[in-house]
Amino acid sequence: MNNTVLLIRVQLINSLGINKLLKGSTSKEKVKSGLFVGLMFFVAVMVFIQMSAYAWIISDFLEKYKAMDVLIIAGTALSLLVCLFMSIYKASGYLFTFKDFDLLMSLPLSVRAILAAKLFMLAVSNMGLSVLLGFPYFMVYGIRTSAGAIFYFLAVILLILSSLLPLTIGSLISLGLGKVSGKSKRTNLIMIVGSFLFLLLFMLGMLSINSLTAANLKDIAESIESLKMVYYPFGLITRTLAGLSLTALLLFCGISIAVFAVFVLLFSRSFKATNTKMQEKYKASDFKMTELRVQSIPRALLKKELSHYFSSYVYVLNTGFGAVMMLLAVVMFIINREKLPQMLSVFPVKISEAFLVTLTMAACVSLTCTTAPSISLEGRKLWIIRTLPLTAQDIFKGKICLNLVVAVPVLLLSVTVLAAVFRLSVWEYLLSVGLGCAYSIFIAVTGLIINLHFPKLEWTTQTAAVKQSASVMLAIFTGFLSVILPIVMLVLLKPSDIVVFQLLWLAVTVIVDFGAYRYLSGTGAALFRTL
Amino acid sequence: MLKIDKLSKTYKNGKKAVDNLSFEVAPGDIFGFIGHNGAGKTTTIKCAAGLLEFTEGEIYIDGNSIKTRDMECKRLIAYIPDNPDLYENLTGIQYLNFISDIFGISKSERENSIKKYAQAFEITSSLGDIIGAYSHGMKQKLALISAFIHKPRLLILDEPFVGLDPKASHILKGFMRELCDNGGAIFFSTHVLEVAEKLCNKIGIIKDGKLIACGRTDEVKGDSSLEELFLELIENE
Repeated sequence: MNNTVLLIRVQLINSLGINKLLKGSTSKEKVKSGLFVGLMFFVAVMVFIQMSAYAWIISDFLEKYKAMDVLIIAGTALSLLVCLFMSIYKASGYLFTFKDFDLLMSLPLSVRAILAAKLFMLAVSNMGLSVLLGFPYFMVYGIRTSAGAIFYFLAVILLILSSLLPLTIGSLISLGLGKVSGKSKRTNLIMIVGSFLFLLLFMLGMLSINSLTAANLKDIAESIESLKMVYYPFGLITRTLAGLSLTALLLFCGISIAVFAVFVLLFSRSFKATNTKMQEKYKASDFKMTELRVQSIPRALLKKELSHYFSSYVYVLNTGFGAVMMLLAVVMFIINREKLPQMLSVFPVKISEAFLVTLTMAACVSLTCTTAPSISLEGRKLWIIRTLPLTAQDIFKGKICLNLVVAVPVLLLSVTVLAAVFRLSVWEYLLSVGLGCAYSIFIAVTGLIINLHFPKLEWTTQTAAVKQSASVMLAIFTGFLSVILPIVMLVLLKPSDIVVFQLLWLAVTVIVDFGAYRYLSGTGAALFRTL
Repeated sequence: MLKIDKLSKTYKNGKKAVDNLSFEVAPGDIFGFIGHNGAGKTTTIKCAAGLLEFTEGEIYIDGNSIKTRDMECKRLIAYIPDNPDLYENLTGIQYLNFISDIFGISKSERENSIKKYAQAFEITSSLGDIIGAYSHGMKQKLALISAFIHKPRLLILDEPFVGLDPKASHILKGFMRELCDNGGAIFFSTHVLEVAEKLCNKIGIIKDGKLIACGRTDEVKGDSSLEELFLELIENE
């Protein structure tokens, strides 16, 4: 068997935990794994349905303007942006600072074989989401234009191959970020700030796709041409799918593979040197004992959580997302201030601007869950807190406080700005802040409970604990449900006084917070002791 | 100080890792726990440190049951695993300060202790660096300092000499004796039989989860060397 194929096989078995699922785990663990796979499948189906519905709505507009090609552009752009973002975000772990570097480099394997296997893994990890988001647009185009089987075949090939270019660009950006940060003591800070900037650019890109497909339909032709100018492969993809052009397909495949091959060839030459450089840690070795600060146990635990949090690039990027969304929401509210009354009239129930602010903030807070991977992240270091004279409740409080420290200051800032913009009353302001805080406690406590039920302590990279664990997926799902439920209740109950509804919503959330904390202190603590 | 009474631990797969184990470590004792790979040493140590729940028996630390009075037990002990994974993103001094805060060590006491042990293990200049940048030996030294600074009554160590250079091993042995001279006790596992022979006043040999020899070192080994006795017991049992 070819070395690259061998490496890919071993990495797939290792990263997917196939052996654990088939041989090592107990029936209880198998049920948990099955539930996780089921949940992932359910989420994928939901996303696919949502994206298809969205693409269908857009296609209604596009048909009127005879600009159905825009669907292909939108699907491709979405897929490319997702792939680009995921590559920037993941390339570091897959290509530059992977745990098995020493092992692989000591084996009689060519650098190109190692690099090809790592790039394959990176591409596979991106491909699922990229196809899931992009394919619905192509599918709707196919249905609307009654395209034949050859169209779908080409669409799949294009979606798979189109990931090569953003993967190359993303890897290069990640390499650049890594090289810049590697020279500094503040490596993680630079990586976090850099990645959040790209994340914001990504969101702006997504917003511009939305405005392109739904709002500025008159300028579609011009927009398409400008997009084709910016990114030449867009034109080739459109020609391949809309015109079923074999030449365009071959040209696109040729460009993608050529750029990718050049990257592999050039990077393989500096692969060892780059990795050696990036694995170096900043060492001053000039420490001199000065005065030490004495702190109480809760403060010491919170400080430990904060230090751990802000030094982990993956942890911050995944769980700080909601806080960034809050700030983005404030900007969007301010920009669309004039259009807001019109937007509110779309709701089936009469709601105020204050309610919309509360709902948006609660939704963003529910996305900020630092606790769902926090037990898993202790990993092989769990022995430290397990053997220290600390109660499980002490440890939980430290982790819950971290969530509040990350979410609440941003919440306060956001609501204060929006209260000034929309001239909210004191009561409306307090309700928004109160519900935001109650949501932050809810998601923090629930995240911990879920993580205690679904811990993932055996991992080689933090990405596995933060991104690829059942607890994080379930926490996201729980946060989503906690926002959807009040909306459903609002639509069903159609309350005459929205403030009373908000008060009830706050009361229920606080009661749920108490119940969840009680469960955490009892069953959660017992679960912690068995880890 | 440490009393293990009829301890048994069966894993989920039905394997009995430790079977009806009983022995005591008194104040002033350095107890060496010896056995081949997979004999049940780490399982016993983890049970004593309160990390693993066990199937049968009891473990007492200074008269406190680890099952029912675990907080009291943990205030008295320090545990270091065989491969100490520490908080890689904290600096060495942040980690030591964190441990000091948890044990409520006063400012002057922690400063003096950290100075004393860091200087002895020669890692003072690296305490400002993040632990992720440390070598295996340096992590081991840091973990040992964190164990010594709160003056535990019982030190539980799993293979403490692995990764240490000869000088650091010598220093560690000195600190171990110092702790026992002050009324503390040490329970540790090792594969280095020469160390056990010279350092420990008591030893226990475990095979397939069962204690096959236990007592004062000179009484257990008699006229033969510990290595000869160990090999003989492992072969014959």
